[in-house]
Amino acid sequence: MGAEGILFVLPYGILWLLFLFLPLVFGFYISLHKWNPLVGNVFQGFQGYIELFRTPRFWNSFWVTWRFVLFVIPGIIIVGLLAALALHAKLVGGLFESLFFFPYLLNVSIVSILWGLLHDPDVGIFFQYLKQLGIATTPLLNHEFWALPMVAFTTIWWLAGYRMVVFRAALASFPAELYEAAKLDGAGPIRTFFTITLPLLKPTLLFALVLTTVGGMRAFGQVILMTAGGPGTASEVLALYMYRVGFEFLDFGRAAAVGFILFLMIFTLVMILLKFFRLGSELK
Amino acid sequence: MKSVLVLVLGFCMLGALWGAGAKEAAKPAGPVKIWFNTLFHGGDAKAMEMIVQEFNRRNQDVQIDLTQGSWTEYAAQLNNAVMAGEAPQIGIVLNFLMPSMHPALTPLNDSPVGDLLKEFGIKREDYVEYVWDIASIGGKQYGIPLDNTLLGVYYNKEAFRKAGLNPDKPPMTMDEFVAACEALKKAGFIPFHPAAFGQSRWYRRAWYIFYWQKGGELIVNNRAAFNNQKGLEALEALVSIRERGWNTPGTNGAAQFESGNLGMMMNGTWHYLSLANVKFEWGMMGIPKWFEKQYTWGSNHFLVIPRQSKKQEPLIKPAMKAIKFISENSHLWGIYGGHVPLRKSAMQSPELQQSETWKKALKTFTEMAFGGIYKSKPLHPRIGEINAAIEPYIERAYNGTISPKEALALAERDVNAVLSK
Repeated sequence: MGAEGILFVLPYGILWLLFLFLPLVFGFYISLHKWNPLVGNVFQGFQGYIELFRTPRFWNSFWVTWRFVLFVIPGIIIVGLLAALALHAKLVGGLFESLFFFPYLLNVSIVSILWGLLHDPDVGIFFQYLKQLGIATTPLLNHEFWALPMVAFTTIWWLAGYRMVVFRAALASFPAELYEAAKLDGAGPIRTFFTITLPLLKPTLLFALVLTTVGGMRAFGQVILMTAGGPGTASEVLALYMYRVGFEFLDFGRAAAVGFILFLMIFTLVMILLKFFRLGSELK
Repeated sequence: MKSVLVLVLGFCMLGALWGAGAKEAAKPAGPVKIWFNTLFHGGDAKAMEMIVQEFNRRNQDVQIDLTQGSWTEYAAQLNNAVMAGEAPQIGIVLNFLMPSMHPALTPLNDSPVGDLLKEFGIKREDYVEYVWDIASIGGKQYGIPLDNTLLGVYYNKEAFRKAGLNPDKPPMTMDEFVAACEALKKAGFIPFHPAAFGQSRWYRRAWYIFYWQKGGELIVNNRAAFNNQKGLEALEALVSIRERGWNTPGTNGAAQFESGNLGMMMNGTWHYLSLANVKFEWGMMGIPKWFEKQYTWGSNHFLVIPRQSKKQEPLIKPAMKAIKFISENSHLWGIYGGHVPLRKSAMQSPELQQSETWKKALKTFTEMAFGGIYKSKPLHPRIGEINAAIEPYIERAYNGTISPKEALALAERDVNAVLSK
């Protein structure tokens, strides 16, 4: 890269260094301490991490986070992709597109409060219908198994619209000749999807997957507002656990350690995705 | 040539800025502004706003800028603000957080600008002494007691009448309470909600009350001391509320009560103002003696001056002036906020004792506070984490997903892990 190239990258590079890289390094530094500047920070090395690994509640949050992304990542991607395909094939129109995209415009608090009310055992329509149909006797947000999938469902409803827009833009950019040739060769819609559409979608899919992975792993607002991590700790994801350790237990060293572990989880998963999609240009 | 132009422009801009600064300095000095950040968010937030407005109206030289924040994050935010050298001049600290929070506070009798207690004439004997002493650590006074908050049982008098119960004689023993709940259930009401807003911390508080009434202690010799017969019976009593069909897990008791469907609800002093506009007659019975000893959960708020940075030190005395005003007028905190004021003159204020709040709830809450019924959770430096270790299991037992025995064993394991750190 020449001097010009460096100059072009410099404004973003400085911001990235100041607001992403340095906080990350500083967060790691905090995680190696018993952090309380008012009485003096005490360096403890990896003791905070060892303590965390011995804490059952940390492991609970760790697995809850994986369960959550297991629902959310495929959910958002598949629903968003299906909606984009339906729009592209003109099976549905602009009204559907608007309605499907609309939740994405809402703030996380509004989304969570709205769905929390729908699930409310006293006034929630959603719960009343489920109760009358004999499907649910316990409010789903207070059910140890269903609470997390319900938060994940809300997250899918909220975010799938944006993925739809991304996929739709990609679909519109694919050359029509390829599809015509496939048609002439006698390929059906399923074969066309798997041999033409999906390979062409790879970069877009990767972008959507990275975005969804990062968002899903860091989920916080909808969890704290809909279930507060409950019942018990059944839906306490790592981001919420980190918040509790820092803001409720006043232990910022340990909270920073949770944050750094969360970063490593996201980083590893994104690297696996990049490797899996074999997009050399992205890796370079 | 270009460089010369840039230099000239630079000097012009500097000159303009200097001029603006000089203009600023020439302005006549206005009132001193101090920042008061609280954790109040219920009906009491409105009450504090009224008191602050009154202070601002009466004082031209000092004006309070009031912000009211989130309860859960408050302590951490206050700590962080002190570390950043940007702390508010007045804050609130809860009694059980005093042991962990006091390094972030200005000692009022040993502040960087002198002994504020002496200068402002604030004396221990003007307050309830044992609460005052909670903020005395190592001979330094870190806060002025504001109030006593307690949990009591609010009840719907109309529901009582419809259920054939005497609204002027609410149930005060376990037998009477069971009979009242069954009568309310028969009349089509939801009988009782033990956990006001339904979050796990409320179930934990309800269990604390039952356990304390059984004569139990939470922590003894820095070890969990609740996994015993008393703890079990207390938790079984809590779980029986669901088993008897007196309420459903996951519900919001405050919403049920305000809609008129709930007979009785456990809630705090602060809930008084939230009930001001309900369309039925209600009462507050205090806390029944469910078991051997009559105890309720409670806590205290202290008015504090967070540690100030060097540049903020001139604001310490104006802050103390405001604290003195709020304290001297804490009868208003009782009347409009529903809490029991802890300044003796405020407690004895005729305005307070003739108020509607006093008649409906505060008289009973005051009698509870000073009648040996009030109990606070342990003043332990890790109390936040201890509570958080207990509450998920209490909630799960209440929901029926684990047995009370299992819940106590798991809570004991987690609390001991916290205590051993």
